[in-house]
Amino acid sequence: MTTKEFLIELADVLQTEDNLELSSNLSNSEYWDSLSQMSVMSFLAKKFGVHASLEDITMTDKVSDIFDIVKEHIED
Amino acid sequence: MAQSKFKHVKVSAIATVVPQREISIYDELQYYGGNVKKVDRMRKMVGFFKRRVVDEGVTSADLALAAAKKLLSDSGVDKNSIDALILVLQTPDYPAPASAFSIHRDLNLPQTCIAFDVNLGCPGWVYGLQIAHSMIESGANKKILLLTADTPSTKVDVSDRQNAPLFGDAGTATLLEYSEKELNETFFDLGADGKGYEAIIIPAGGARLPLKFSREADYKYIAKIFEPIDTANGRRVNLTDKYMNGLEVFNFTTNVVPEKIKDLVKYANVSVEDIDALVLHQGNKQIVTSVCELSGFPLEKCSYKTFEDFGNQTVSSVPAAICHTLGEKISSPEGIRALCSGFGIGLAWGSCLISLSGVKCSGVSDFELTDTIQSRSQLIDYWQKKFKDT
Repeated sequence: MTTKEFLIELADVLQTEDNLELSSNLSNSEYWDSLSQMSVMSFLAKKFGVHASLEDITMTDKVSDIFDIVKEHIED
Repeated sequence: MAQSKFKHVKVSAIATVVPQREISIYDELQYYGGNVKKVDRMRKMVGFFKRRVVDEGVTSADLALAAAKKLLSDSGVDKNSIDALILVLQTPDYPAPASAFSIHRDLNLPQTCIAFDVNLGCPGWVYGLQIAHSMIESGANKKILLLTADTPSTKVDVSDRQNAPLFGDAGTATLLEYSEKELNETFFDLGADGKGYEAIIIPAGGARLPLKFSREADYKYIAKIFEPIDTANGRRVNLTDKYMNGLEVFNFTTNVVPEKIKDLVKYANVSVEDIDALVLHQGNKQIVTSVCELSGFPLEKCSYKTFEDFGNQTVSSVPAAICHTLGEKISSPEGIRALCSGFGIGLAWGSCLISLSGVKCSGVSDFELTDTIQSRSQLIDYWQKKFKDT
């Protein structure tokens, strides 16, 4: 998966029509709630086999924080 | 590792009862500022849609009793042949005695039929099934009525948007019988992790923080117990409300449960292809699809439709999903092999691989309100008179 594909899939997971960038802020966005956090944990586990810690998820500020958890699986 | 297998126990009938009152998340747009798009998003992400909730005064035991009556009437089983009644619930009618006894009375079961409650939530049906299998295979019992019920809607305020759209009320009944003939084996894998004891909990109302007014000093504590607490996500709660760390539970569910399901498949010496259906606790769409995929099952073998149509029915969700989505298949002579798994409060989990065929399935029926259900005022008058007359 490339960075671009990751961002598209993440937007789908979060059910947002915004174009996400690595620098996009999540913590202040209206769609970053416990439901989204669950969806992201599920996405990371299913797509990358990565079990993110609760701390990783709840401390997320920007999209790049999620990206960092799985960056070794990103191709570009 | 708590694994076990049984060869002489058959599930012969199953029934689910839900309250008639249905609430759709689209009926509650006022809580989302009328934003349909937001509700659509929640529906797509989590599967929130409809749920059934009880009317004032209806308890878990009422739903369990109704499910038991439905099963007995549809299956035609002689109730005098039932020798054990197991009721799995977390909301008994009274602190004591167990609600199983009132159901024993209302079903007019014989004195040779034992009755007891088991305090368990979401994994409870599988635990109850394993207990019943053990009792029957040991030779102690021949026919067991396993009941589950919960009314989680009564424990959350409708304005609590984190929990209210999630939970639905239900009661189920499952009849298990001894079979002289050797059957396809039923395999179980159960477990618990008490470190997660506080992940889902109702802090007040038990012995640690009792709601008791017998001394003046008690009033100080009672006031504190009911003191409103404003949570970070805008909910107003107190210590009698259910506390749930949803993320911690989700983390446990996706980390532990799929591995336990894989352990069971290995223990039973079968492959995913040999299993017709995966019936998971209907926590929400995310939970069901995540556990399914992480367990190595294709999504076609697993449904979250029961969550969408009825909500998370906690202890009843697995048998309710069987009644709702697999009724025809389990009634046929060929039947199916299903892997069922419940997980949650405790934290605990329980999975079983079971062959279900020729089962008298009553499907999902509506609960009918009867005049035997008393209001709180009627009950207070009843008990006050009883005390005075003693």
